[in-house]
Amino acid sequence: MALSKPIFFNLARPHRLSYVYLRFLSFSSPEEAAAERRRRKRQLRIEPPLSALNRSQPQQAKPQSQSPPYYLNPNNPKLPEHVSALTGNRLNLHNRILTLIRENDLEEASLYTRHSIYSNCRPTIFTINAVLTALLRQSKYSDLLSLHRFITQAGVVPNIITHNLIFQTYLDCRKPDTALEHYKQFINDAPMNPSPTTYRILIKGLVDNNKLDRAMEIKEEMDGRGFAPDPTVYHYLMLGHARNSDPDGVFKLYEDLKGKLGGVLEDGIVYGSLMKGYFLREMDKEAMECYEEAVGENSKVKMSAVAYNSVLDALSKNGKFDEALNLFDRMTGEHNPPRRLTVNLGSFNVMVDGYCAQGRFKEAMEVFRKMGEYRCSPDTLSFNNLIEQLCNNGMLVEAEEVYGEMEGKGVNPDEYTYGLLMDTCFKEDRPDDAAAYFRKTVESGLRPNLAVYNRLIDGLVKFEKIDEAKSFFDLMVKKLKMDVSSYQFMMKVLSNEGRLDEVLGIVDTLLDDTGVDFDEDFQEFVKAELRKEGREDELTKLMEEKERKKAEAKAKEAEAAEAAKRSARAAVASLLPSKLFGNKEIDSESQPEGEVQASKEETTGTATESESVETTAEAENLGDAEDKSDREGASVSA
Amino acid sequence: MASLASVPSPGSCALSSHIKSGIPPKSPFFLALATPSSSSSTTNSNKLTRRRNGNTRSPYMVPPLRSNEHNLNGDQRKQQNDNAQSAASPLNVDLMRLCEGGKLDQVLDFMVQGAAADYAVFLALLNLCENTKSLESGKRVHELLRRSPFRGDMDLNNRLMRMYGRCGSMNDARRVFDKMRERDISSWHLLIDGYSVNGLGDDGLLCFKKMKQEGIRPNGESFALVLAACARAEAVEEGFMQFESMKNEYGIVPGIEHYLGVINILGNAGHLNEAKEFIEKKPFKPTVEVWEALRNFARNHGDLDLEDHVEELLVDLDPSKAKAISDKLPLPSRKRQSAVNMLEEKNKITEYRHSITYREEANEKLKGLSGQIREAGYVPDTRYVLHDIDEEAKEKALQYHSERLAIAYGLISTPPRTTLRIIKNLRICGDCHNAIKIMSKIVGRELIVRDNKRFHHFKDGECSCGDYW
Repeated sequence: MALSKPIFFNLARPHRLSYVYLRFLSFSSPEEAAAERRRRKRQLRIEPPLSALNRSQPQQAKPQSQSPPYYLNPNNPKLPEHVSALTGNRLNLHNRILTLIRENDLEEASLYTRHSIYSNCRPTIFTINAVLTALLRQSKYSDLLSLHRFITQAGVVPNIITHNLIFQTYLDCRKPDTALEHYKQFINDAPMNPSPTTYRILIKGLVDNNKLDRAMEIKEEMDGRGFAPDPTVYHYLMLGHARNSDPDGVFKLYEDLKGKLGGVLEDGIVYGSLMKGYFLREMDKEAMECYEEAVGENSKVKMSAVAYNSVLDALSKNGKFDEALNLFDRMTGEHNPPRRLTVNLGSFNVMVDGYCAQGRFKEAMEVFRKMGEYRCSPDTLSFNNLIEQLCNNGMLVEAEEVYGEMEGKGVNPDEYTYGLLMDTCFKEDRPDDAAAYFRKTVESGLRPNLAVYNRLIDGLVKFEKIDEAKSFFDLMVKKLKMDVSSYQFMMKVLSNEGRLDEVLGIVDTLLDDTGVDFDEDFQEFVKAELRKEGREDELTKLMEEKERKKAEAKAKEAEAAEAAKRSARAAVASLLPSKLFGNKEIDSESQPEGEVQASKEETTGTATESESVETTAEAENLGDAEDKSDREGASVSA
Repeated sequence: MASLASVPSPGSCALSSHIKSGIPPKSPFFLALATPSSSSSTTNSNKLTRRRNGNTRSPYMVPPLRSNEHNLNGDQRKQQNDNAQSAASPLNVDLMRLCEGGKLDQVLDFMVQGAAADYAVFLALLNLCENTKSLESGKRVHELLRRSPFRGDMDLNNRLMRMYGRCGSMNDARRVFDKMRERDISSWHLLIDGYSVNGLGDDGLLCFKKMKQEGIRPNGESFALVLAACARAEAVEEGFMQFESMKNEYGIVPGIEHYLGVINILGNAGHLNEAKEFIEKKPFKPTVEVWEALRNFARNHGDLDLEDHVEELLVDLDPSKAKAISDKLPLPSRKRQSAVNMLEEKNKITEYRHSITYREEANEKLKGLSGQIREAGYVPDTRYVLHDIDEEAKEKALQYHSERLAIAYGLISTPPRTTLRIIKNLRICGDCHNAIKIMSKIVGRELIVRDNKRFHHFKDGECSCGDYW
């Protein structure tokens, strides 16, 4: 994907990096920057097709200067709104939506935003961004995308924040290709430049989605567009290389960054991944020198929470847990919110991992519970992490204890939490509890997939709980797209129990399921099962019966459709004045919309009746909108 | 009563003060009613008048842009004295006082009739136009000014430009600017400022470029204005470069207003992270205004996490702010903090989650959540178009049925979720019936349509007539 436009190439000039850290230095003068910005805005000016012009005004060669200004044509694509649009009623709406978001009533927030689109107070793109951000925070991806689609169709122009949110969404729900597709479209069409944050989001997301190559391409493009090197971006990339056990890649990036910054590296964010690189090469000494450089006594390196975490992770994963403990003490000592933040949720996650790796589970749980003292609140991921560690080490009781704490902290378990607990319960011979966890998953509106379901059925059958397995099958067959093997497994189990009627029942549902092909092999399988009791013809009978029923239903449907058509046609015909076809010209003059007219009104034959339509709106103000009393306000005539 | 007041004799002073105290300045024709009346508060107004009269500094000396001091040209005053003696009625009016009373139109009428206005009156008039934002009167003042002896005065012209800028007509301001024989740096400033206030940041920047070409060396104020223009045009790159060139080329040490200008640029363009980093990397400690600016941008752009964080910092700097914030709801906790989560490969939900929606959910989505009505399952039913035209034109014709136009009008003119009542004297067509059903769901309102057969109450995608049509 050759995305970078070779218009302004990097004139790398580290000497201009003064004490204020600056980006955007590839342009040699403000004029050049302005030209690029105007060029992007000008891209909007799409000329209408020539044919459309010629038809209405043949051969009317207008001079170029006569063409109406761009902004006068309402059909032209628009620029996003400016912050100054957020005034008056629209600002009130914005504040109202923000309150809804704080109350965590996102459903109402997004619904109200949608409804406001079709009202006298259109929400600004800023209000919409606020809702989208809130949806993203709560991982409500499908709601987010559907709202985004809605506003795009309604013609609200997205700004850079909207685009960033969309990239983030697709990357978070593991659709990096879609994200890149959007990015490509954004670069080609959007009347604005990407921001450094755009690149951070893209590169982090791509690295997390195991697309390091694409991330490196995007980084090249970022350089080509003249963004100043961003240590955070380098950190993500180096981490990706370290994860792929590629120390060379790590060192290369580090050298690259250092070169571009003129040899001075003030941001401590890359040191952790650099240390990982050294550890991968088993150069422990160099790694510890690097550690010294970053956090030593006289170090000038600025360490943020993320920078500390990355160093902490490098230490604890590479057998330097004592150093890690020391560093963690120092971090908690330096933590002084809100001015200085040196500890965040990630630090605790790293420490929990570290303790668990040492087999010190009690301390892991202790440090996890201490999080609140540093104003960090655990999320589902960190709970899952601890529960997983405990489960894998046969400490189910402790894991369930931690699971019990989730509700008190306002954290909702997800599919992974329940899946873990279910699997461990089976391991510990507690099939009933396992089934209860699965049931809870479904009941709380989560969506376990086929693999989890298969493990459940498998486990239940092993404990000879056929009835339960069947009931879960009945529950899930309506929701999941089952494949052949999960059907066959269930049938096999049932027929082994001699419950052939139920097997036939499954075939019945199977025939309704369009997703699975009931082919020869499958039929043979079922027949083999039935043959045990000599009931193989029942399958054929069932299939014939089903076929017949389907045909009947189809015929009925067709008939109903035909009937509806006929009645509609009759209705139209009865309304259709016979004259109408006669004086079409008159009619089309007076009735441009081709109104169906009642024939009695047509008796005069002039077809010039006036049509009156009245719009009455309840002229209540926003606050009274809930008040559903039938007050009538000003009436507007259209 | 400019003419009377300008006579520097104590007697006339007393007279005018009596008039002032006796008659409210609102009354339009107080001159005709002028009768001496005893008043206790004469001293105060005396002083006022004397100050106005005593000011005999030569014109063009006082920077009129900054003060409202009233100066009088010597010749002008003499001429006005003559006028006062001739005592022709429209010429005798105290224009200044009328101006103070805000009687803009009256003053203009008098002036058209021939009342001579002095420098101060023009200033006051332009001020009035600026405050009331009335472009019409502004143009009249401009016209009068062109005929007056002050037409070449730079300060008045600057003032005129500013008036046009405030009244939102940059074309006129530009015309004034182009016709000015002499300009100073503040003329340029006014032009740039006018452009950015009126949302034409780009033109402001072009203007700055031209100013530099003309050899005028920009000062700190110019750069503050340029940064504002960049903010308006959302020109991030350019803003940074102007900021750099200010330091490097012109040797101007950036002040707090310049830093605020850069933060404004970033905030306007929605680059919130960058704005925060810029603040953190600033050479001096961020002040309350800086954080407040960022807080407001965070709120505008809907980044509530940032807003709360900045608010904490604000309280830390200035504990008196704590009270205003204390009643705020805490933000609900984030479900997954992918940005700060340091653990690798722990994000395994997808492995456990069924990635496509369950079947029954999918159907629901298609019906309810999708955007426009077509996506919600609306198919135009062209049987109801009886003209002999092609399919596409039929679909188009359906879109302009009067009930739909009426609904569209109702939608854009009423607050969300209010009920709309449409009354139509013909029968609603079947296609509109379908369309309005779907519309009612999307716009979240009850739509009540009466045709000549019955009432239809559309709500949540259903109609009370039970699709009887």
